[in-house]
Amino acid sequence: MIAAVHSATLTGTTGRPVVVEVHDSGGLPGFTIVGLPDTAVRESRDRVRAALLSSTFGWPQRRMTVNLAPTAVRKAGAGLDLPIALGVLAAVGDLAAKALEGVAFIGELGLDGSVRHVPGTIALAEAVRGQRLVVPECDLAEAAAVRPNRTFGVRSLHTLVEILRGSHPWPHAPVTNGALGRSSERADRDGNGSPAAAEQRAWLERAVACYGDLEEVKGQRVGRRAVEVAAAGGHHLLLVGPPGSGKTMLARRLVGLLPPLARPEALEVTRIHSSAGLSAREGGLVWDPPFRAPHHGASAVSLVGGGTASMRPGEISLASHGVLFLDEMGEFPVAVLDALRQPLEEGVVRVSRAKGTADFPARFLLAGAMNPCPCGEGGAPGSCRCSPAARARYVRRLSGPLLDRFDLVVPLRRTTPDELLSPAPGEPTSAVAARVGAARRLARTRGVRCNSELRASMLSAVAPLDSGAAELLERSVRAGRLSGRGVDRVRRVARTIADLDVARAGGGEGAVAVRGGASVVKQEHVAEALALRAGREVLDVGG
Amino acid sequence: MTPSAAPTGAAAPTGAAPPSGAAPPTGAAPPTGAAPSDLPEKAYAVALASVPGVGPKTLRRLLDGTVPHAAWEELVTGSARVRASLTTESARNDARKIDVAHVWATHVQAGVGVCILGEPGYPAALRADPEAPAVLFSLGSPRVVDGAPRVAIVGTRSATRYGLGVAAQLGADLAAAGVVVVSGLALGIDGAAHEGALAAWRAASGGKEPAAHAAAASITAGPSGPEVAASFPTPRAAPPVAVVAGGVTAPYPRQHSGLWRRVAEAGAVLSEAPIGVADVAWRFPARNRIIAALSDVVVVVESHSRGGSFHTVEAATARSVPVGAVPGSIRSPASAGTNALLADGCFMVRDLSDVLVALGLRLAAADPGSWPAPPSAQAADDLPSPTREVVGAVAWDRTSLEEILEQTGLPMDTVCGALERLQARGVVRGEAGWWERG
Repeated sequence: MIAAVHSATLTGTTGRPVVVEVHDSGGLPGFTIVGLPDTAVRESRDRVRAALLSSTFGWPQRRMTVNLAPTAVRKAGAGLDLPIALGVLAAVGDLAAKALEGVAFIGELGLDGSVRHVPGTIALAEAVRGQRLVVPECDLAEAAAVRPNRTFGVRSLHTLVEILRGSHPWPHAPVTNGALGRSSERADRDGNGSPAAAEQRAWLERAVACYGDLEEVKGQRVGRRAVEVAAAGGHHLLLVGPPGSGKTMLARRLVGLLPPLARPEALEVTRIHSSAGLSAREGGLVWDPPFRAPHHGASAVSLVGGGTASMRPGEISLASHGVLFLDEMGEFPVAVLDALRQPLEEGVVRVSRAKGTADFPARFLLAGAMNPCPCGEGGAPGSCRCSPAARARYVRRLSGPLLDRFDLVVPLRRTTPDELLSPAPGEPTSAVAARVGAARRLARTRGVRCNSELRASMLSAVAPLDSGAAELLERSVRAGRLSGRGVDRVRRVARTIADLDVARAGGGEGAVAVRGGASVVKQEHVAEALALRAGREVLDVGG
Repeated sequence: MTPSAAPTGAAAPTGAAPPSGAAPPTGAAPPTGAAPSDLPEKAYAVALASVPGVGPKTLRRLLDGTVPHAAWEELVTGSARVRASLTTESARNDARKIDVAHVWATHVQAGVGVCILGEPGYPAALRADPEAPAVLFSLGSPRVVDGAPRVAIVGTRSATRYGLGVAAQLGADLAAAGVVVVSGLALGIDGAAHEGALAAWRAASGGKEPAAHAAAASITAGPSGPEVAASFPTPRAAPPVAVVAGGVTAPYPRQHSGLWRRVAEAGAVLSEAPIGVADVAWRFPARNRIIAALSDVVVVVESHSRGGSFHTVEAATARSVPVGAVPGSIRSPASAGTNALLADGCFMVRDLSDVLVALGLRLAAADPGSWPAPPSAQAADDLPSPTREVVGAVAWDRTSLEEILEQTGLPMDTVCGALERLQARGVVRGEAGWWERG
């Protein structure tokens, strides 16, 4: 007899539908799985046998063949355990084949017959065919985020078979839990509803608890302003300063300034995190912008993704819609840093291996930190004791094209003892985040998510310069402080600074939108944008 | 002993040889041996200097009291005298691998001049020095060092804008006043001093008027001046001289290859290293002793405490060459060494006249206007409000943007806007996040 069960498998962060066919015949007893299974799938034979036996079903002493179709796709992970077990039951006649029609199953089996968590449930749930979907109970919230109707969570194989046999009713789908309720409100929020404000507050609390408050950063006015501009405009940020200048502190607090994710972003981030086996905070979706800080020993594969047949997403994809922080950038291997260039350009990383190709989203805010030179003191003129050759070698690790991606290259100096011991707190994250949010809303009126995405052709329309600003830009180019390519970057940053200026002036959101949408970029905005780029002079890489 | 033949053959083309190289070799011919006898003595001097194991001291010992050809024979055959001065066999083995004719041809083709200590053409200024290089290689004219006072301008490679400005100004003023500026073509102070001297030299020799202040300055020998002052000619701009560590045709650092060429064209680039030696670290401090030996006065513009310039200072002190230092901010690490020198009793260099006094020269018509007067502090009072506070927060030495923000308490865009406006008017200058007045 033949049985067919619908399920799905994961390649990278995308699910693909899979049909599990089980054939039962006489002959020498045996159990074979064909159709490009990986090790975890091949081992499911033993899990399925034990789970069936513990769930009071028998193990057929017959020749069983399991085929995973389509055969050309590699099958990875233990999520096919449950459909294989059900297929075996149907093939030997313990379960009516009709009961499996139109239902898809995802789940790993424990030896005791329990149904366990499967990574990448959200992507699998998007991919499966069938009107109903059965997932492990712990993954229900995640699956229901993309299939809110007729998705069911089960805890054990035994219960599930009872339901399929009709002796138990289908459980009530608890699709109205907290996370999903929020998400449906989010779907149609337009930015000024109170639920959004409540979410913003909740995210701020979590961010401050997790990454610290900006007010804890003593002194460092330039650095604090730099993270504000980076968050508001989505500008990649490189902090250049001696050890002990608070580079790491600042970069960690950058993520708290970002607004919580919108639903499409949250879906994408959840898909990536779930595929990588990271679970969301409370099931459901990941609403918080992620913060990833790989150590400089990281390999190129761990950063951009790849690995074995299962194609795990890399750190840059895990940082999607959040912050990727590379501390001690000068210590990363050159090849690893250069692997970042294409994803930075396109927002997507395509990983190709002999066994398959996967596209991972990689739209992240890159925050880097490095010393100005090997001795660390090179920030202040005349302080460095490194030989010019050693300095050049150190800076060369960051290729020119990679350095060009940083709109903000900010020189930091060491905090003085007076500043460290000063009791006066700086501006708290909440106040800065409010300005960042206002500036981001202004950017959205221009048709982009943030100002760093403004195309060069749009700049003269959306970032008009007043006469002082134009004169300053021209003088900087003539003095060799700024290259042609640098001009557009400075204009984008100046646009963000002007937006923050409008946000600082306050007033209701309507007033901000009216004043800010196409306000003129003034001389001081360009001047500040230039100052937030002065780190290039520290690194001696030109304008 | 028979007088050697004039150089013939392809190995020493007389037509292509530089003036100093074409001079007929003096001294004795080789007694007997396998070496070709048609090479000039200088060829053997170059070959001796090219042996990796032979440093300046060994070279002097080898050439002491004998002609290069004989010294070469002794080295290759391993005579008793050579064995006494060389501790290892490796130098002899290295020497046997050297093709004298090829090494000589390389130098001739590159137009490198070769002077042997004690022979005509060797700079008189160096001749009496106890550690003078036995063989001196040059690009340009090594004679420019004779007949004019020489001042070394040295300092750190990681200089501040202040130091670079002072070095360039001092180099220009000294060159315009007819003083040969000697330096090492390194990054930072050295390069700035050469650039300044070159600019003054070009302004004077290009048919244009020399720098106004130099034309106005009439220099006369001081009553107690050194010997050189008495023979000082009428003020004419002097060309720059560089003393480098490696071969004179291998510019190092590469950023200075253009400057290197211009110095060689205007004045001279000198070295005790032949073409093709590696830029090994010991050659840099060894080069500094030549700078000190060549100079009548050494001026340190900026130096970290115990920086590389102290090699020059020590060599100058050992030779009783006066050392001057340019004062700097006590908060600037790049001036820590120079300020310490001043505390130790070196004379202070604030402008050209301070150096000329140390040289035993004096300016008959002192020209205080030659250095830019510090902008008057009152000028700031007429400025509008945010700009006035900002300019008040910028110190005369480097101030970080952070400090300016801290002191004024103004938002960053306001402060940056004011700083850029002030920079456009020349009141402040900024680089790499640091600002200073003037």
